[in-house]
Amino acid sequence: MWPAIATVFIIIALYLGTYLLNRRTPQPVDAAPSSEACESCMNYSCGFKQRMEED
Amino acid sequence: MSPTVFFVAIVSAMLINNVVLMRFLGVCPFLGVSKKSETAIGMSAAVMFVMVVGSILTYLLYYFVLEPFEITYISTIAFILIIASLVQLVEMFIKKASKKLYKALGIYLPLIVTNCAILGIAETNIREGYAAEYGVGQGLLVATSSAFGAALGFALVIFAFSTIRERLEAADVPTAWKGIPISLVVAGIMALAFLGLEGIV
Repeated sequence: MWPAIATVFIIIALYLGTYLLNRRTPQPVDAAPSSEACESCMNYSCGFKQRMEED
Repeated sequence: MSPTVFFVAIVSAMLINNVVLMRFLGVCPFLGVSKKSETAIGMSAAVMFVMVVGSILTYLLYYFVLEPFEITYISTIAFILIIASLVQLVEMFIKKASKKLYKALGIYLPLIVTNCAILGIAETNIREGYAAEYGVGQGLLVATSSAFGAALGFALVIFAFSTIRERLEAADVPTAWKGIPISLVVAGIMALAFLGLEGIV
């Protein structure tokens, strides 16, 4: 039981760590994804699409 | 081990057990990102990278952590988190390393986390029992070949489908069939065509 809980916690920590690191990494200048590429995509749960619709 | 094993693993995963048309995994990006061929190529490249690297990591996690501790029942949640972490890491690396690549793949990377084909191939690699048949080390090579073949199959199908959809935009299609309905008919015909390859290997 305990190895399973420990493994899950370690992997969750790994995910949170990589998520925060990625969030803090600045986007390259002039490399913001273009809205044109999103026009053909119908995945409305995507963060990019939601941000673009807000803008 | 004979090189034929790798060839068979690649061809089988690419054409005979095609991840989209035979296993019906990754249908969401198949329909969602196939309206233009450029976006299909971008998605295929991102899927190819994450599928191969994700398969290697999940295979190692299964045989070096989950199996020795007898906790294989958490494999699905562990695989999902590993794939999600990998995508974050890849996105971060691309942001730092290549502006061009980030511009090309940036929007597709977050979508990959929700692509069930990646998780499906990781699970299949374990279920196929490559480790029992070839040993853990050589089994890893066969599993990687299989993942690479599956990624190639995904790329082949999504690119072919996107070019057909581009042509359908200009075709005279009845109003009720325009868009997704005619695309689904095309996908069905493509699946039938791939069914004809069964039994080659």
